This record gives sequence, C-alpha cells and structure tokens, in this order.
Amino acid sequence: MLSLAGKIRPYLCLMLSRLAALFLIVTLTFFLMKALPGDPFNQEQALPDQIHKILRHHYGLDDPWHQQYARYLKSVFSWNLGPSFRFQDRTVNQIIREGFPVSALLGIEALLIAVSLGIFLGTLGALRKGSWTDSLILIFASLSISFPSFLLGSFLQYFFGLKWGLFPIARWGTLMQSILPAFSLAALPCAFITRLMRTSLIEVLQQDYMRTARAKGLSEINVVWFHGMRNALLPLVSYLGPLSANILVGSFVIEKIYAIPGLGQWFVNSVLNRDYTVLMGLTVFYGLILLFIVLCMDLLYCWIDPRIGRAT
Amino acid sequence: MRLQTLIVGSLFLLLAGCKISHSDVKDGFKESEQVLRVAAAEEPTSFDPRLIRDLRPVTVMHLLYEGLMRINSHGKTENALAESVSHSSDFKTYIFKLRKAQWSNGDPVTAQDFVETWRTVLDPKFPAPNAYQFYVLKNAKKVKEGKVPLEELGVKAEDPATLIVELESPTPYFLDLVSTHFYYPVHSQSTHEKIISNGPFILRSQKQNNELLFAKNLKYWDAQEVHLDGIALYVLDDQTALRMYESGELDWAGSPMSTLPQDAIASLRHRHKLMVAPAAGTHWFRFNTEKEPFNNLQMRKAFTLSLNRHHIVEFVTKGYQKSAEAIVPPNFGLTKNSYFDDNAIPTAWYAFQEALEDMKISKDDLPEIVLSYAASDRNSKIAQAVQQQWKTALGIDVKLESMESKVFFDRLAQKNFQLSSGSWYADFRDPISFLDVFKSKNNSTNNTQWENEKYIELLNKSNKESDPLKRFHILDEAQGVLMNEYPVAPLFFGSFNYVKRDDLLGVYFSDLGYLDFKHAFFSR
Repeated sequence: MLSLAGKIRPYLCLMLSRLAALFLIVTLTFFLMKALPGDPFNQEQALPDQIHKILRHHYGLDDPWHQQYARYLKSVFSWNLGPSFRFQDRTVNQIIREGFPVSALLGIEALLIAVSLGIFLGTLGALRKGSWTDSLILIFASLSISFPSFLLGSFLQYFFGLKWGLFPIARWGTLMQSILPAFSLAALPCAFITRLMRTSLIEVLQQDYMRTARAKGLSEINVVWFHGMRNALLPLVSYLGPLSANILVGSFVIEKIYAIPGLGQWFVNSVLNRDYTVLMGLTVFYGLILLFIVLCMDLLYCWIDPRIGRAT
Repeated sequence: MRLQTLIVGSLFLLLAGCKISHSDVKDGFKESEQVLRVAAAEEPTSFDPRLIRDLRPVTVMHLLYEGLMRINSHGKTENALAESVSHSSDFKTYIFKLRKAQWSNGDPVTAQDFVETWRTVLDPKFPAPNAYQFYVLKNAKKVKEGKVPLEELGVKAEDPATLIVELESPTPYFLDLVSTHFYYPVHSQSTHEKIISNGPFILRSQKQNNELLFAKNLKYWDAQEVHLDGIALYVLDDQTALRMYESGELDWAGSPMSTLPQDAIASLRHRHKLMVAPAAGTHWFRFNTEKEPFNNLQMRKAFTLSLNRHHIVEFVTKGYQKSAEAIVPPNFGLTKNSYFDDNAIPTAWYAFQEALEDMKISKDDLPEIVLSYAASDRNSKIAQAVQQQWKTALGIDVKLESMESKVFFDRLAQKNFQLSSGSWYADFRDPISFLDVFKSKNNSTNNTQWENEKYIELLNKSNKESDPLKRFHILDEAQGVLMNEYPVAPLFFGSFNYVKRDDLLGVYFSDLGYLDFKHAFFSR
C-alpha cells in the first residue's frame, strides 16, 4: 500500500528538479547578458564619458558582478523586477502585467483553433487513410508547416485586411482584430497536430484491442472515440506542453505585424536594447510559465493513461 | 462528440468574452472632432523631457510641454512662455520675463519651475542623458562634476515672472538651445502616473505598446491657436503602418516617429505620395586616423573623392537626400558648402598613388580594409554600393562587416575599426552642433581619433565672438581645416520621408527631426 507521502514524493522530486532548472536558467541568462558587448546607453549620438558614468552608476552597472547578481536574485525572488532601462516610466512587473493577458488571450484563441482543427483534420485523415480527403489534408499540413509565419501573417493582412477589407488590418481591442493574428499564429501548430494525430490514430486503430472492441459489438463511433482517440492523444499532450508555453507568452513576428501589445515583442527588443531588467524578468517569467504548463501536462498524462501515474 | 462540443462552445465563449468595449471607433473622441492619427514605431521612452535620449519621442515632448521659446512654423525662434527677452551687452546674461501661463493642474508656471528643473538635470545624481546640453550655463559643468554646489548654477528666479540666466561665454545660439526640449520645464509633482504638463496637448490615456491619446489642453496659454481636438498615436510596425495609411486608417506614417520601409519608397515616389522634409543631419564614413592605412591623409582623400554620392542618393536611398561634400548642411548659414568634387576619380587615383608612395608599399601589399556598419536594410545597401565604387575607382576589395547596432557602437567606442558608417543629427540649429563633434579626440562622438590644434583654437575663438557674422567666418574656416584632413568621408545630407493625408495642413516639420502639431488642422 502506498502512503500519501509516497504518492506525493515523485511529484516533489519533479518540482525540485524543475526549480533547479529555473535557477540555472536565471543564472545563465545573467552571465550571458553580461557577456554581450554594449550597454543600454551606447548608441549613435554617443554620450560624454562623464554623463555615461553617471548613468551607469545610477543603474548600478558599475558595481562588481557579484553585487549585481545578488541584487538580481533578490529581485527575482521578491518578484519586484525593477524599472526598465529604456522605458523609464515602466517597471518590468507592469510590462508583464499589461502585456501577458493580451498575449495569453490571443494564444488561447490560437491554441483552440490549432487543437480543434488539428484533431479534427488528423482524425479525418486517419479514418479515411489513402482517400483524396486524406491527401488534401496532408497537402494542407505540409504547406502550413513550410510557410513561415511572418509570410503568412503579412499575406493574410494584405489580402483579408487591405485588399478585401474583410478584417481590420491590425491593432488590438475587438474580436474581429484578433481573428487574422490568431489564424496566423495557429497555422503551424495546427498542421503539426494534424500530422501527429493522423499518424498516432492510424497506429492505434491497428492495435489488437480495437479489434476486440469491434468484436464486442461496439458502434464505430464508440470504438474510435473512447478506445482510439484517448490513446492517440498521448503524443499530442507531450507536444502541447512546450507549445502552449510558447504561444501564451506571445510571438514576436505576429505581434509586430498585427500591432498586438503583447509580451512577444519585448523578448526581442529587450535584447536589442540591452534592457537588462526587462530581459531577465521576461526570461524568468517564461521559465515559470513553462514549468507550470509542463507540470499540468504531467498530470494530464496520468489522467489519460493511468498506467503512467502508477509507474512513477 | 462531447469533447468537440466543449471545444467549440468554449471557443465561442472566449470570443464573446474578449469583446472589449470599442464601440466608439474614434477612441473616445466624438465623430465631429478633428483627431489626427499618427503611426509611431515605439512608445516614447519617457514622458519626462529630462530623460529623453532618442529623436522619436521629441515630437511628444513638443505636444506636452512649452518652453521659454518655440520654433514657429517658418522655422524662426519666437517667444513662447517668455513674454520678452533681453540680454546684457556682453551676451552673457539673459533676462526672461514670463507671461501668465498655467500647468495642466491649474498651478501657475513660474521662473522657479525652470530653476528647479535645470538644477535637477545638473544634479550629479540625476540620470539626465542630456545634461551636457546645459554646459553653456555658468558653472554647469562644474556642478555636474560635483565640484561646486547646485546653488552656484547660473540660473535664478528674481521673482515668479523673471528668470535670469548667466552663461559661461557669449553663446549666440542660446535662444535656439532654449527652444529645444532639453530646456523645457517640469512640474515638481509630475509623475509618470499623473503627468502635469503645460503644452498645447495633454495626455488623456495610454495603453502599453498600443496607443497614446492626446487631447487639446484648454489651459494652454495660446489655446485659441490650437485647432486639433486630439491626436492618437498608434504603436505600429513600419510595414503595417503603411498598410493602415493606404486603407485610410492613418493620417501620418513615416518620419519622424517611424520609418517608411526602404522597399516601399520607390513605389511611393512613383505614385507621388512620398513627402520629403530636409533633415539637419549628415551621413558619412568615419576613418580611424590612427590605424593603417587610414592614418595616411592621402589615403583618406582617395577614399573620399572616389565615392559617387549622386549615384547613392538616386539609386540606393532614393529618398531625395542631397549628396554631401561638407559636414555642415547647406542651410545652416555657412558660406562654403562644398569642399571637393563628387566622383572625382582622377584626383582620387592620384591621391591613392601618392598614399602608396608615402607608405612605401604597392597596392597588393595594402592591409585588408574592412567597412563596419550597424546592420540595417539601408546600411547594407549603401555598403554594397560603395564597395563596388571603390573597387571600380581604386581597384581595392573592401570587406564588409555588418553587426548588431549595440555591438557596432561598442566597437566604435573602443576605436576597434578601420572604416565605419555613421551619421550626426543636430540637436539645435547652429553649425557648432556639427563642428563640436570633432573638437577633441576624447569627445565620445568623434571616434576618428582625429584632433587638430588649429581647429580647437578656431572653435574656442568662435565661442567668444559675439558678432554673428564674424563668428560664422570663423566657423567656415574651422570647417575648412577639418575638410582638408578628411577624418570622415561625407556621403549625403539626410532627409525625412513620410506620407500624410492630403488635407492635413499647418504641421511644422523641423529639420531637427520633430513635428509640431500646434497649428495643425484638417481643411476638410
């Protein structure tokens, strides 16, 4: 008989190892960033040395590295990530607070489109394997995977927005404004899910227990839905973890094209601007989200396939 | 089909849920009001004029704030908050009489506000990137260096309406300097959550990385001259901004708040949509005058003269820039604006041979020459064009090295380059804004390692000269000294490219790179 502690222990170990990973990410980011040439203040119209020194001193950039590192760790643990170097009226907490909900909302919309459409098409393809529907679905999937998102986003914007006027060209605020970016964002994962689902379901459908289910006289829908799908979904779940974390924190390209005020653009711009506090804050935030979602996926695994839970 | 029903159902719920109230298409302004919609590449880095570093947010500073002087729509400096200005006979003391004006919270704007603002900028602890713009004030540099107390700064409020400013030396461009955002006053209780300002517009609302809405400031002293009811600034990608302009959702796109995509310029020009404003800026190549082979004057001359600038502005940049044969733009009042002929290949070839003779090497023994530049679409196109020009004119293969801009500026500061692209945009309308760049080797904007005693002497002399005409003669001479030694190879004078709605009138586009919407209106 397993005690409660015994049941929890594997999860605790999992959590601890993930936390250690997070700490590693935090540290690595700090040192990689410090190794980058340039600082937040050097640009074309260079500052006089004395002013440059005052600015560096004001932001504590002239302190020894261990002091800066300690200050940074403290800011991470107290979740008070400090002001942005570039956008001086904003704090990193504020940037995340205002940007994340936008990215997350768009991300959820895109995920729903990708998952529902992907599962539907994948299942259809698997059930009609070899037919022209299947070929069509495969062609669609290959095209979506090889079409880069900046092209697709720009393409949809040009035709659906500017040429035909069916949707707003860009900006954020209404449902209509979110449709083009959501589809641009969903295209790639949707294609991936379609292919994953198709392959996995085809394999499951050939299993012995499917024949058994049919032999018991279950209806076709019953067989595919309860016995086939549930098992075929497993590989999908492991793909969904990193995917959701990625999509929820926003995409640089799509947010730029459609002027979405999410978090995605900050990731890239903070590196280009050497906006140290924003860059580090966002990395930690992304790490946390990834950790949380991967944990959720682990739990989901156990629910879909109880054998996995027992094995750990 | 439970799962599918669930997914579809939740999708609809979500879509219904994310319908953010946006029924008022005009962003909270009434349909009948005149609202200008402008594209911006990013939000202003701050709303505090003391902390602004880049060119882009300067337009916003001129919306929100009013200083002692303002540049009017003809480019002339005129009184703004100052009702009258007088100066002593030696041009070292200025007395500003202030008019009655209010902050947006109703407080009067006083001389003390200016004193406090300028003192904070020069406080050794305050991170003001532009503090050096104040070094013409008496004791300003010493104050910033912490050598004398703040109270010694040459500015005082005699009474709430009288501001007295003392200068280190007669500064003929002082009133131009005072009209820049560097010298704008800040209310002591203004914070970024609640901005207290005194300009033609006030900030009504802002959404991070999305939009800024400005409304007409009814408390502005000259409010009857302001015609627009509001201004909406949308944060947009350059390409997206152009598309929104094409569909009529924007009234202004391109410079100075964003950039027109380089690829779109030719087609806009062809359709007669492209607008051009001259810029007080010069693009050039910097030579590192302490590194081989550009420690040789004739070599620098050869590289400078063999460029075909007309070809570059006509076929590469395409934005109606003017080719530059000097470093100070022609409309800055200097008499001589061209120091050499463009595309003078025979002279260049002669200088090149002379350089090789000086260095006692043959062409094949030349060290490898590398042109470094900050990666951008336009920079790479220019670099490729000049690479070809040097190859044709001198038969030299120049290697191109493009790098991320922060890395590039770091290399520049460490003088770790041979030949690099660069530019300078004036902060105020006076030739000294350009000439000062090369005044000393240690000047962080110089980076060419070039220094010349005669040049320093002339610039110092010009600072003490109070007769404007004589002073310009001295500055002319100084530019001559500089151009004789080619520390930089001038390429072209910048231009600002933009598109705007046809019926938008009264906008002042300063060649310093900002827009003044004070007098703007729609003629519809």
